[in-house]
Amino acid sequence: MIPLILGATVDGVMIGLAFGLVAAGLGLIWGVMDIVNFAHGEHMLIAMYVTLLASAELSVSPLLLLPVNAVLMFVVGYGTYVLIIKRTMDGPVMGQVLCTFGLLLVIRYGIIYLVGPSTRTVSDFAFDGSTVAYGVAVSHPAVLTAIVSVVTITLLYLLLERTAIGKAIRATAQDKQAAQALGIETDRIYAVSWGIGLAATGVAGTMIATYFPIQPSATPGVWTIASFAAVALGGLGSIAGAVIGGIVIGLVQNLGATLIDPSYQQLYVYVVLIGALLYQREGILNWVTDR
Amino acid sequence: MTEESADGRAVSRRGVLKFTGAATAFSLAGCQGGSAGSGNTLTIGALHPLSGDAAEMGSRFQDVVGAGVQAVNQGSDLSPLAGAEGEGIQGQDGATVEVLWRDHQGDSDVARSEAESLVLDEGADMLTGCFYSGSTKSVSQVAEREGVPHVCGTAIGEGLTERGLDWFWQVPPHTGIKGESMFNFASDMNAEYDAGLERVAIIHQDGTFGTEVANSMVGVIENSDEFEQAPDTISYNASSVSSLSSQIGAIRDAGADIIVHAANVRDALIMLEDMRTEEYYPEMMLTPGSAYLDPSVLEESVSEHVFSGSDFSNDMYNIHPPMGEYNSHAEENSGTPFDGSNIYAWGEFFTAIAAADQADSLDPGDLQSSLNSLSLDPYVAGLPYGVEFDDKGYNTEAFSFVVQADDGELETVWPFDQAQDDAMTYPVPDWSAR
Repeated sequence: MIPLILGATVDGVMIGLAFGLVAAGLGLIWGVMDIVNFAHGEHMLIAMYVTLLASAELSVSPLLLLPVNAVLMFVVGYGTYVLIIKRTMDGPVMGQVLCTFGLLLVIRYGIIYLVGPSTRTVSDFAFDGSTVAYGVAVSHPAVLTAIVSVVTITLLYLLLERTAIGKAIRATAQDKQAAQALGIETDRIYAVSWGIGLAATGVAGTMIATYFPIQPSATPGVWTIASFAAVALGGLGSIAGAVIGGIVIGLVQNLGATLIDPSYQQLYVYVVLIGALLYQREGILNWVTDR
Repeated sequence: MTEESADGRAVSRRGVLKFTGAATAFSLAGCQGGSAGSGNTLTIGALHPLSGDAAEMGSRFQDVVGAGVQAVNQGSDLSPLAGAEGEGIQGQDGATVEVLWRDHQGDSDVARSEAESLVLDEGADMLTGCFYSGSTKSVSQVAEREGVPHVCGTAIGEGLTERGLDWFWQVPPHTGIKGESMFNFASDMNAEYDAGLERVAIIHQDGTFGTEVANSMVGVIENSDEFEQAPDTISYNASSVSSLSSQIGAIRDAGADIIVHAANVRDALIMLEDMRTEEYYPEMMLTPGSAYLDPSVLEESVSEHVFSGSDFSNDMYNIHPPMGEYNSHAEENSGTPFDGSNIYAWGEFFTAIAAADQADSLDPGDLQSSLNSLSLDPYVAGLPYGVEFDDKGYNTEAFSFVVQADDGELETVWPFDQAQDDAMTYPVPDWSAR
């Protein structure tokens, strides 16, 4: 039983870090602008398909595509805000919700139109394979994804905490009018926030594609739902909270499946989520720091 | 005798009768036209998933059925295939066939409304489909209400013909029959190869398909003295699953010899990839087909050596030469060869054609009588087995053989007398030895 628990813990932390990276991008946009990007998983799908096609057609290593996808998705995010979201900012919240939902459909069916609906995987990744140690099996691409997640989250944290643009983002998130009074161009900050949020998604999508089957209809939902839960659990606008939320989700679903009954894996996550929200609405991190 | 209308014009009683009679005749003619399609054309309403997870499979259905339509309407030398001889359906004075495709998106409510539209607006003579058992149930209820035959060749749920319907016929082997074939194979493996297969793990996606398969397999195991379940049945949500490692851990911990997995394509790949990561493989991975027969799964190396219950294999043409000719026709005319999924759509279409060919007319009642009395030899309905329905509408001739994935293709391994020499790889090598 101990190797099973150990394996579930390791798997939970690794998948949780991936959830956390995806959730960090969602949480950034959500926290700064109070907009839920329902197309978050579909945005990740763009990076996944770039990875899939570039590795299959051009034999480019997914690792080399990390910066490419980060920049590409930054541009997509920046452009999405300037061309679409900005125009809904003064309208009702429902308009923004419908707008991101419309984006979800456009991206999903656009990809299906361009590359078809079938399930595909990245093959011949140089780091394919797994290692078994102390009865615990770890997939090399999953470990690599966890490492990239930690590095990216750290960079994201430093960007927000240590740079001028990061301070401007945090100021805008706290009080838009006050930030404007201090000379911050909040519109540009919003666009940059979308860019950074989706760049994180681009990095996550690139790595997740190396070991996760991709299907345009089914894949985005898995990651969007998990990242919603991670953000709700970890607290809005908190990078660290989103990551901790992601890890908690990964651990709960894996340990719950191992210790209780594997048929109710998703149930455990949402029981914990509901409990956490009832007990501590501001998220886990605030609960921890309040102690 | 006349009566005064409100504006003072006289309306004769004879005039009223003439108008009423004409209106009645017109409406009756309209009703007749609506229910019987367009005279010398057999209109089949085909409801399948053409978008969503199964869209690519739906597209392959369209391809091979399109080739089938061509064989019927233009004639072919695909004897003994129903409707292939001569141009059009000979039993209906050369009536042509047209297939109206509708996408139910895997949604039972959409399936119901599309079926109503096909019958009431388009005048479909027959309905076919719908791959998913849930959608099939919705459509068959519409067919029952409207009195239109529903020929189902693509859904394998065991309970589909247990609903007391008069307008529903199921062509392929249902999950119970598949389960019996699969475990007869496992039993024969114990007898012939001393395989020691005993403990069976059942894991399934929690949709209608997966649940029905699991229930059927549990039933087969419970009635067996040779096999036992270990661990208890495991289910998961296919749309939200990101890993099956914990489930695999539970199966390994229970010491299962056989894993029966009912899955969609994405979770089938997650299962196999996670098994590879865990460096775990049971004595036998034995699936009820579906996702594991999909070309996108077969092209992945992790699917190598998986056993599945199937109506199709790439080497079946050696034992069933007419199937090879049908496959050549489908590939030449649509670019799509047969596979483990689209062969069901092919059989579904030609069962409908055979029924129409033998019916007195294309009226629903005649088509119903024809389906009830159908007795087709193997290959006539485009399948390696015959078609003859019992009182409930289930094809008593349907059977399933067992295939094994080998280098992206499916090879028959059971019944042993239908397998090619050296077709089977057993014991299945460890991951490290592949």
